[in-house]
Amino acid sequence: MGMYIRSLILIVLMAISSIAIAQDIYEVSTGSISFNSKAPQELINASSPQLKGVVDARKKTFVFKINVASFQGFNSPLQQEHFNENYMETNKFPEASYAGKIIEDVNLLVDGTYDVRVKGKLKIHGLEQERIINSRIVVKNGKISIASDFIVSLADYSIKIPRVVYDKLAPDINVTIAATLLPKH
Amino acid sequence: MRKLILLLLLFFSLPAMAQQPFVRDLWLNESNTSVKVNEMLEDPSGYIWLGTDIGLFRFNGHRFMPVPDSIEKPVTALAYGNGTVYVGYSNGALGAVSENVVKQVTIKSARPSTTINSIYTDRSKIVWLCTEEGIFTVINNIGLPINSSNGLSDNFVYQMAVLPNKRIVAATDIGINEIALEQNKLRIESLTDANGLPDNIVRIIRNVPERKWYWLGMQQKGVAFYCPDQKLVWQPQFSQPWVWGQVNDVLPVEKDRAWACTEEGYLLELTVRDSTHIDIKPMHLGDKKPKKLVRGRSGILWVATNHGISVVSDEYMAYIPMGAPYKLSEIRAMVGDKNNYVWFSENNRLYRLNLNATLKQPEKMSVLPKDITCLYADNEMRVWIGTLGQGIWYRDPNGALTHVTELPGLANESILDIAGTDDRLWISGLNGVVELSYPSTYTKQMTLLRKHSRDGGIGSDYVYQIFPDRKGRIWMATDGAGVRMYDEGRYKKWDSSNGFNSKVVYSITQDGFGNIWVVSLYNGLYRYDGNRWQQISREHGLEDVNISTIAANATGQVIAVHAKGIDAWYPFSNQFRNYNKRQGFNIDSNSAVLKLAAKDTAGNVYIPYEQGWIIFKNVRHQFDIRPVVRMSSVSVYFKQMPAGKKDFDYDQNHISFQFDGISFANPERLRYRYKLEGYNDSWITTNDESVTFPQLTTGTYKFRVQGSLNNTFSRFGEASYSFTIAKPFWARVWFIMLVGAAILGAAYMFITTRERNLRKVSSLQRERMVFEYEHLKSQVNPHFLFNSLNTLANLIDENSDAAIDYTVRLSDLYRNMLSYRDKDLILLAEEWEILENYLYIQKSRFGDALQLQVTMSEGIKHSKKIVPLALQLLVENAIKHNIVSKAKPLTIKIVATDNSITIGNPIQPKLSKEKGAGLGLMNIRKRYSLLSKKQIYFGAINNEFVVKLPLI
Repeated sequence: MGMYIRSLILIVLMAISSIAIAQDIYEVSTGSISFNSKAPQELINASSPQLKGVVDARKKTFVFKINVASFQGFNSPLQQEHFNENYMETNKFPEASYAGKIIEDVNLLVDGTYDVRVKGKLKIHGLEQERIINSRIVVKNGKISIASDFIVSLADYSIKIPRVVYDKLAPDINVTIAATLLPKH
Repeated sequence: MRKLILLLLLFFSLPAMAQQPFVRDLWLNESNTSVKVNEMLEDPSGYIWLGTDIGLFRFNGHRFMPVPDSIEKPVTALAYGNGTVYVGYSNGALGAVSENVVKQVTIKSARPSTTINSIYTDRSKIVWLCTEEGIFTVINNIGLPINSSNGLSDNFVYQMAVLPNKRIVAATDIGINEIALEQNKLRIESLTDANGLPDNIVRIIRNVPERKWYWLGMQQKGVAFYCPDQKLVWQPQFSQPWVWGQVNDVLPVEKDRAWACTEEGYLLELTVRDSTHIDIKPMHLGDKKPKKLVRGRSGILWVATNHGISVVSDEYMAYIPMGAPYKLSEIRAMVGDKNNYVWFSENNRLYRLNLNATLKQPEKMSVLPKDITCLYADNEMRVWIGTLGQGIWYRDPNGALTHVTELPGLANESILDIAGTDDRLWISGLNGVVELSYPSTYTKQMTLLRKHSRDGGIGSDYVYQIFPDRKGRIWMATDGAGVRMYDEGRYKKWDSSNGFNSKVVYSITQDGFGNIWVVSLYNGLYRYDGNRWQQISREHGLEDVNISTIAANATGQVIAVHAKGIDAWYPFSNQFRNYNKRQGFNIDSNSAVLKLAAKDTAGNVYIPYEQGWIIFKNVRHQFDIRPVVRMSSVSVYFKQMPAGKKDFDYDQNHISFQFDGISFANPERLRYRYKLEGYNDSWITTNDESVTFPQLTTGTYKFRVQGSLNNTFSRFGEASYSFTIAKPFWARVWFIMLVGAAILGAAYMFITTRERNLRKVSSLQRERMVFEYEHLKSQVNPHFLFNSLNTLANLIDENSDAAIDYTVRLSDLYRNMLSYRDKDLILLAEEWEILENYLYIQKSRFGDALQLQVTMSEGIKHSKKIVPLALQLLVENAIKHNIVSKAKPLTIKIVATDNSITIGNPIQPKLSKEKGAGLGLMNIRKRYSLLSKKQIYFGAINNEFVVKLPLI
């Protein structure tokens, strides 16, 4: 009897979650993230096409992730090495992530262009900060496009800059993301 | 080329500067190392508490003291309530400060597990925690959650406010929620963009003083108002569009004024023109991100930032920066006019600064042929100009300059000061003061109305300043005659009999309360309240008595400029606040030019200094710059005692007091004085923040400590600590009673023993008296005397030498008997002498019929004692009771041992018994029994009568 009820609950749960998956969950198909540092002495650009993530269009929640070591660009291989080893410590903290909710009362199940604020925990260098980020979401033909740019202050994430590179590394880094999401099958 | 660019840059970056506050950054750790401050609070005792990413700090104006905790997470919320500081952490933990450490508060039932965004307390001892999971109401350590399951529009609660009638309002990511408790049920109503809220993310909710509205600070759309009574939210019109970003805090300071700060680094002054219009004055704080605002009791606007904290002076002081080519140290004269322009002069050039303009830039208005010495702006918008050697000029509103020449002597005069009343112009030259009419409209004619000269009543022809007060009286600062006042044709003067002690006065002003202040040479300042003069000097915090300028704003502040800096009088605190290089504002005015100040139309005072103009603002709030002292801890033998310990043991008498001074106005000047009442009655002044008393005796004490910035100590802000040191056990009541009882017992025993002894002694004396009486009676017995004298008579005949000897012996016998009779014991040798004399007398009578056998060592004679006359009595008894004749001679045997002496004689009784037999023997026995436990023995042994006396 107990077994029977448990199976029933499981089946119902699966059914509900499969309904949700079928209709509401979008997954990044192509996603890129890039950043630049505009210091008086040096301009640094890097980007990665490996942005991953999912959006629950009904619940208006999301998770995005990036493998930090996948950033390419920089002005020299040495700079990239410093980025990975000294500043981001990618061995210790391989991933950066942003998970949260969409504040604005929008319906992502309907086609349109929405300027929204998203709020969540931005985790970089192993530290989490509550962040509100402005984003533009375009829903069209069953496809969701997200574009956003925001600033990351190195001090907020306890990323220490040696004094000698004060002029070469900006304390605030501009970050841009662009992603296209498709329904998850 | 680079120099040229630099020059160009300088040229273009020139003048136009906005009025701005002085800002100074304080670093919590080492200099230039950021510590992110998330929360800030001023508690009622005056400390500023800082919740940072690396824990809690307490700030007293000169030191950041870390307050240890065991939670070790960023502090994200602070609140004062129930006499303590509550501390909220990023992991949801709640702490409370107790004895200089944070103790975690245990919350039973529901408790937060994510960041505490803010904490609220009220008098009912409820603590509310605003978190990412809703509100937790903590009552008696039991947490009750209010969240979306109760109907809250969103779980992320930034702040809340407590409304009357058991209502609270919470600011969330989705609008604001009014929460009411009705019949033990929560009723929640939310207001969102659908109700007119400009922005759903409401981060700040703060009550507007004296009003029933609240400021709302939002994430994107700036600020708005909320009126809970009408359930209304509205956004007023801003004087410029909101471009300053997310609101991090709103600090209402007056009902129509507030400060706000934003994540983009702006500090905004919000002035409410009416409920639908707000004027916004922005200021950028550079790379700092301001998180929180507090206005301290000294008037400082504290800004907590991601780097540390910053001091912002704007509530009482601001400045207009002004660089080259203007050298403000070159300014010789200043005046403010009715249109809110400040006129000033450098050498012979006249400039004007428009205070109404946001960006202020001096304009050159006129050039005079001679150097300008003084300025005055009248109601007709004319500017009157005094010169060095060319008398007075005036500049009309159209810019035309007129030299006043029609008055004899004035055209080439050097002018010291110009002042004006409604219809008169007053000019001080080197020859006294002249009172003139203003130029008439058509002819421009000016008339001399009166001359005020030394002999005319002002006592000096050299008047540095003419000051018309608000009652229309004319005050004159003279060189040689002190201060003079001209009122309705009469001159009034003061001297030492009125408390005014200076002949030379440089400058005069009137404060916001109507008091007159004057600057004297050497004696500092005098203040006149209408009745008497009071000297205001170093003991009121004045840093230097060599004052060049004095000026007063509209609210009671009086500004004194001297070579060491600038002092500003705070009437509520009754002392000066000092500004100099050490404050970090880089204020260093060295202008020795007299009366160099101007006022705007509101009464704010402008003083030039090296880098611009300092504005001493009108201060509507009663800021208090007096320092406060707090006890930090009490130690016994350098070991800290728990708070509240007031009773110490007699050996806990090495007591140290640690105290802490709070001063934000001039912490570098803070000194203390202390007194331990019960130990010493005099105050001791010190710079230390700790004092030790090493050997306190039993008693009740009160430790008092006061702080001062200028040695004017008062009870205000005093800290005290009363305690007692107990008596040692030997001084306590029970011990004293015990010892008393013991002493009483001993005394009782002593007295009873002594009484017994006394009784014994007195009975001994009585017995002895009886004995003496009997003895003397026996010695003066007529038979003995008769026999003795007969013997003597015979001897005289037979042998005159022997008769002399006999007489001597007889007298010796009587003398000895008299001298020993009142003694209890005498040496055996002494008794033996008596006996020898007696026996000599008797032997003279009886001859060989009386024999004596003695066995006695000389040692015993001189070491042992006996009752006096005992031996003599026993020998006498033997002679008395027995036959002594040639036929039957009597042999008396005396044997002395270490312990006793025995007198024995054969029993050969007389036929006629003599009277009083046995009396002497009984007497001896009694005397022995009183003296010792040794008994005498007497009785017949083998036809021999033996008496055995103990030797003592």
